[in-house]
Amino acid sequence: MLLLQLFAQENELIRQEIGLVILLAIAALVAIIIRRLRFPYTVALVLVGLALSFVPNFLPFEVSSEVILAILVPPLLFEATLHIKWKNLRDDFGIIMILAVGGTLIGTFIVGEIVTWVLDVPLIAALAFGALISATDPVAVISFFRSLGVSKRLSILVEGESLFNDGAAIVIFNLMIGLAVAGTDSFSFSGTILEFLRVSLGGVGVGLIFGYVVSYIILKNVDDHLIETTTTVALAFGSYVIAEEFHVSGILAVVAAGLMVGNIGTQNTSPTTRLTLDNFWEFSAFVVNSLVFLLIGLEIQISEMQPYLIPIIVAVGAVLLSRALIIYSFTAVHKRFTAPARHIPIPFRHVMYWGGLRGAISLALALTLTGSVFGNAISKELRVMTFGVVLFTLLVQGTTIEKLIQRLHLAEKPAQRTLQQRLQANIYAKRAGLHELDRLHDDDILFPEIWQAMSNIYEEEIHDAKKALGDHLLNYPELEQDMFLQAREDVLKAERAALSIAARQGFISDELLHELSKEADNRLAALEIIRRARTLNEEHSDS
Amino acid sequence: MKSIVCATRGGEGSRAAQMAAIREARQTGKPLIFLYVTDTSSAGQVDELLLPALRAELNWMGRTLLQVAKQRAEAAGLLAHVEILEGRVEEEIGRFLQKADADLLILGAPRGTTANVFGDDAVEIFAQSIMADTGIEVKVMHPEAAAAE
Repeated sequence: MLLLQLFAQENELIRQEIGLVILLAIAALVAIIIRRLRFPYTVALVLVGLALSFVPNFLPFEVSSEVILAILVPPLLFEATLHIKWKNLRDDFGIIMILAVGGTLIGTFIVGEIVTWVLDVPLIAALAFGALISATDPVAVISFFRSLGVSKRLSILVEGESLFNDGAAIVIFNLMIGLAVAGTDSFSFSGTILEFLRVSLGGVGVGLIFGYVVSYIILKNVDDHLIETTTTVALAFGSYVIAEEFHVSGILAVVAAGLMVGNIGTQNTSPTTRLTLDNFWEFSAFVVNSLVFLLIGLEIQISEMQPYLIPIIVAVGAVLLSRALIIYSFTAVHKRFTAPARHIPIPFRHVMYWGGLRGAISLALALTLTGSVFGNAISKELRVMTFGVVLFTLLVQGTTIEKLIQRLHLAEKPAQRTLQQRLQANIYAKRAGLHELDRLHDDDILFPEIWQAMSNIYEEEIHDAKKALGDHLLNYPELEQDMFLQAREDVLKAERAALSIAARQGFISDELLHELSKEADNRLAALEIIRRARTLNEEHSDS
Repeated sequence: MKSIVCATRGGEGSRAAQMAAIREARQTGKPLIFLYVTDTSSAGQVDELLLPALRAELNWMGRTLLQVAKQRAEAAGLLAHVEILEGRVEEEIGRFLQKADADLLILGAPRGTTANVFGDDAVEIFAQSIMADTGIEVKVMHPEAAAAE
């Protein structure tokens, strides 16, 4: 690259800095272009990275697995967990953990067995590949979920599984590497399970402890948004590093810490801090995601893949087959043991299957495969197979998932609904502004004439916004039912929350709480059925 | 006196149908009845255990929709009656028209296509079958009518 050659004589640090600046500039450029197209940003970055990989020595630094795992992955996981509310996660926590842990274990064995059987790769090496390729990375999928307004539950299922299976995949991968180094004679089933539990639970423990300290001590007592945000940065990286120092899962430590801060820490902070945290972590995740997907493209050498076409096809087939078996069988078994309200609808299962993209974690683990463990030839084959699978899932699954979501009628947000929500949000925000104005007036902080003038303007704006909403509903009368369904869902949730409070205060027994909560859950599930039936009929229905 | 029945389910053409029914009732002085049918089969195949909750929620929705329709009539200076039934939409509407001694049924239909809750049939086909079976006039209103008012 010409620009880099100009700086070739500069010292190493400056060269790396320039490399980073160029990557960020490319990412920003891709983001600007992609805004006008309906194409996943992350996939576009991979394609640009692939194109740039033909430029000799484009990257002025080596992309190691340590760089990805210790520097790029923690902020991504931390940001993702910050937005996952425990009350949403709790209802599906069982199936999420079964998919994340059980699914990763079974996926490791299915893929490993197929790779060994078809490609004659040694079993331990094939199992290591099976583990590293089991970590799902739904960034590209989640961005579609948000833009299409897919149900919160589906987002939680996909995102939750991914967060926890990252940790499980790394632990199983490391166990396989350990086994390859020490020899299979040293293998003990109970020892392996115990080690798995030690590393996993140890990681979660470290994350919870540091998350607790930050949430209850710092975020609760320090009222400075800059210090509080800085603390969360230290927590995201610190929990990873400390967990790894104790030889427990750094990834799970970050996940646990993020969940703690997102659910408890942010309750203890001021609105200013919450806003700063949101903005800071949104920006960080954007930057890091951009770098990760550009690097994925840059690391994959298309020319290297040609001689390994058959192994790549076998790997892709094995990954798709194991994913199908895991998703469809686990959710079917889950259906047998849960109440109807908690069943995972069939369309959700299709999206969970096809949305199981692979990304940064698989790539990072593949980069650790060197000749010293499995020999040069096998290591290279597994690395290229990983690149092939990552590329396939991003380019094929990542670009078709939107169509699938639409075909399954899971997209709930056409343009008129977005506008309706915008108009409602406008009224809601202005009402809040008016209340604050009244509070300032009641506290004698505001000069009466200024209060009156500002109040008048607010009233006018609220009147205009209500008229705009009324006109919009006149043009799109079907939105009235949306409004009803949303309001009904909100009040049912409020009823359910009130039952919990009543039980805590001793008005009702735990048994009655359980029974009434189940009824409320069934009502919410029924509402979801009505909503879905309505979406299906929408293009045709009425009366 | 003969009555006017407006069947509603809160879809795209509901407001148009309700406004047309109110207008008709005011002009003719006939009693106006808004009708909603709780039809669990409209939600497709549903787990048996969820049926009571589904029935209850559809009923809740129906009561709300009928209240909205009644308020619209009151705003136009008219006292309307509401009726909520349970069963298959097409059967219940046909039965109710006889019971209410109606001479006009008003239905809403969406923009464009009209295949709808009555299965694969179109609203117009349903309207024609009602007219053929009962001799009662059926009007089908589209949302464009309400928006134009």
